[in-house]
Amino acid sequence: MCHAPDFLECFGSIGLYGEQGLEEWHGRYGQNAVNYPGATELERAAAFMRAMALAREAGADVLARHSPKGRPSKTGARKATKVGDKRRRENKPEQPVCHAETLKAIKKRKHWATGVARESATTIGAFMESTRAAIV
Amino acid sequence: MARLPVVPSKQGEAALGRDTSGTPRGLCDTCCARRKPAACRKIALPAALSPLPTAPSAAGGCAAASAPAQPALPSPLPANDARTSVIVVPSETTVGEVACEDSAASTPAARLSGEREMAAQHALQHEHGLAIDFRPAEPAAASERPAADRRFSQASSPGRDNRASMPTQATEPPAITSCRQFLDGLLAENYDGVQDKPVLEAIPNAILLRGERPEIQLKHKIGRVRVYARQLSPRTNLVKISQANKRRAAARGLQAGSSGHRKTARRGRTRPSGTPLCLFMAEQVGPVAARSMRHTGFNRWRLALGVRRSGLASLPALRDARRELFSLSEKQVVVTPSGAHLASLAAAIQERVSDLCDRDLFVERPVRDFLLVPAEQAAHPPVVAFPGSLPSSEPDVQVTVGLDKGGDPGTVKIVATVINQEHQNSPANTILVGVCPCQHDKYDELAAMLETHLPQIDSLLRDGVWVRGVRGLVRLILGCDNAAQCNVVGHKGASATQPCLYCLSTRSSSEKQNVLDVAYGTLQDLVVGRALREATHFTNRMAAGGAMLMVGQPCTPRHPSPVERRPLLAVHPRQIVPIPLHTTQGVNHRYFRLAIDMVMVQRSAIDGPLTWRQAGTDFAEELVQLLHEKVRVRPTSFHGGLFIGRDCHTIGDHSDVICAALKGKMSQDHLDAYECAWSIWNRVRRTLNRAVIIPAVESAGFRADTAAMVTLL
Repeated sequence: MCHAPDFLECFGSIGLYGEQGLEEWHGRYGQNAVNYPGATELERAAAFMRAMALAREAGADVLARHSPKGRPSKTGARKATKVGDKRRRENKPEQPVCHAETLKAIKKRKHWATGVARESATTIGAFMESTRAAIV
Repeated sequence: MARLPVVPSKQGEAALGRDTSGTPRGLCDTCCARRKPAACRKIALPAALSPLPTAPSAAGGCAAASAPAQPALPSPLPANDARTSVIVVPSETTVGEVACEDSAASTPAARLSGEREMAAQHALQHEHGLAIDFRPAEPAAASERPAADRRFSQASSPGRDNRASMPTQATEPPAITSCRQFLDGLLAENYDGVQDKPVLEAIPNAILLRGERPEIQLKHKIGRVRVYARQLSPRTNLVKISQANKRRAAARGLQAGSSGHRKTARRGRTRPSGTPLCLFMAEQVGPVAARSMRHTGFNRWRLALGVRRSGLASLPALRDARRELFSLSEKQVVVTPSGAHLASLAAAIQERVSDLCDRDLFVERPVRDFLLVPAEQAAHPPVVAFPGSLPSSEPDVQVTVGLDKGGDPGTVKIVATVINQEHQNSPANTILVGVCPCQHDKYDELAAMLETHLPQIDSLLRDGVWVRGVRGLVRLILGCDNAAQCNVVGHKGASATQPCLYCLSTRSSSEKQNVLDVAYGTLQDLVVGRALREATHFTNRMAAGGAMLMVGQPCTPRHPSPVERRPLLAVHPRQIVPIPLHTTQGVNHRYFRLAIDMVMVQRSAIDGPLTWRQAGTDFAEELVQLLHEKVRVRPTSFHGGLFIGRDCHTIGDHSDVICAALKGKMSQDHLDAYECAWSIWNRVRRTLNRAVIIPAVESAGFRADTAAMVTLL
């Protein structure tokens, strides 16, 4: 964080050079690797690599070149600004809560809370120990 | 007139013969059919009750023949002339012109027939003891005529061509009936014919719309008078959207019908062209490969879209194109024990840069000189910069190389990005260089993975790439997460004595590292200037071989350098990206921990040392429950169970919810500082993650905010 301003002033941006494009490939590989069967993970990876090498020939720019152009919609035109809009959360019919999904979310939250509390306890415990030692 | 159909049969053709042009003379069937019942009704009706004079008109042929029998109202004129359509004057010219088009060609015969008819009527009325008044009623009726009638009368003045209306020997000017007579005839239901209906409708229009009368009085049969007042209502220019759309659609329909314009879809969008797409062969191979579409599926699409009309290639042509593409060096894939790799990274980057230049999408990214330069480097600046780091005056092609482990099962993906384009982080604009299944991404594994690509990167840095016919040098930028960056440059990592990749500052002051602390300061120091690493810091280590542990700058055996291995890539320390995505996740998590820490401290001061652990755990659960319900974010299963991605920004936007939950659970001083930290971070976060060129003013603010945030923490 201390050196981020230096990088920003030198290159003009940090987000342009970010790792978002790299992280995205994890999801793409996880979703599409099943379409490239292979006996081993290495074979699947090789098939995926070959397909992606060919896919560079037709990216999003090719589709945009042939898609019909339209005027961009006015800013905020599709927002649910009226009180009675059915897209608003309070106007939607209440759906029953999936029990399994609720349990899973609770488990995740508990896991997160336990982990963070443990880290904090370690930090605070060390701090108290050092404080007590200093006093003694 | 020329387009009207010819009436084949005529009454009296045998007696009258044909004219010089060969047209049969006599009455057409229609006029003859009209004449018979009219004559019968005229005989039955007494002349005193007849609303109209029975004088025949001069010209008009068979229409003139029917005129005395039926009260001849003029047929309506064309509807597009509204002014003339309300004229209600029985005139010989209008009657003769409109009543029977077919008789215009045989005017003498018609006149003859009219004279015969008039004689017959005369004889008939003499039999009933009635007299015929042949005097023209023009002077008497002129005062009662409306303005339109007078205008019409002027049109029939002697100065014009009024041959049709000129009286002949056998005909007299028609008697204009008075309004009273006409009204009587109307009440007697004498005008109930089909041909009278349009004229009767035009009469009230002519009366009601005449002049600027403020009100109209209407008297009913029962004597009741109803007054209609004229009320002007302004037309509004603003109409509702639906009405505007209807009007626009109607106008488009009229326009399309009249001028033959091409129809457009809703909201002015042009419909997709019906012509086949002209895709290159490579552009067909690409989507098929990207979607892992099988050839049978592609062929079904081709058949469904019309074989030739679809513009899609046949399967043999597709296979040939695929084979041809695979023969190119930038498309070839090699499989090694470490993973699957592109055979030539340099060729792939050259292909991408050439493609951008061909489509004029190559964006120059100017770079400013580094503001902070190590003291020794400023005193003796290098004459020639090492490959991958160029002076800012030279145009360059910026290439980011990154690698990261992720997914299940875990694979390391090596990705290269050309920064000189728009949307450079889009997956379509990045180059997947390698996919390497692995369990760990430590130095040795990464060295094996990069073994294929390091020679390519060297040649890329040495030779550059062709940009619009000019060889441009490549600026290499390292972008990964912190662990991967440390491994690539041979650094020990965040637990090292000098953990920073940019500077030589130590992590914290320690007696063991006292010499380093004094020489370079620590990361905890806020006001001391950083002792930056030299530009060739990693390159020198790379050249040295890395077989032995590098000795720290104070050159004492007790202080080994954190760069303990030979760097895999020669990267300028200032060209290592500060990992904005992971920084955002880490700072968010750090702020949550700070809140829990402060709650623990507060509870330990109040309740004693036994309860603060449980209090911290309870507050952590309360906090995550609050984030779930109010902010609607949840921890994920990735990145160590943190809040990731867009959730980090949502949490920052709703930081007031977290601060409100902390009220009463920590001291007010801590709470104020915590709120201040969130507000600073929210400003830093937006600048840090925005993938645009940041203005200079915002950049200066970013520097001040980061310093303030670090100080506050």
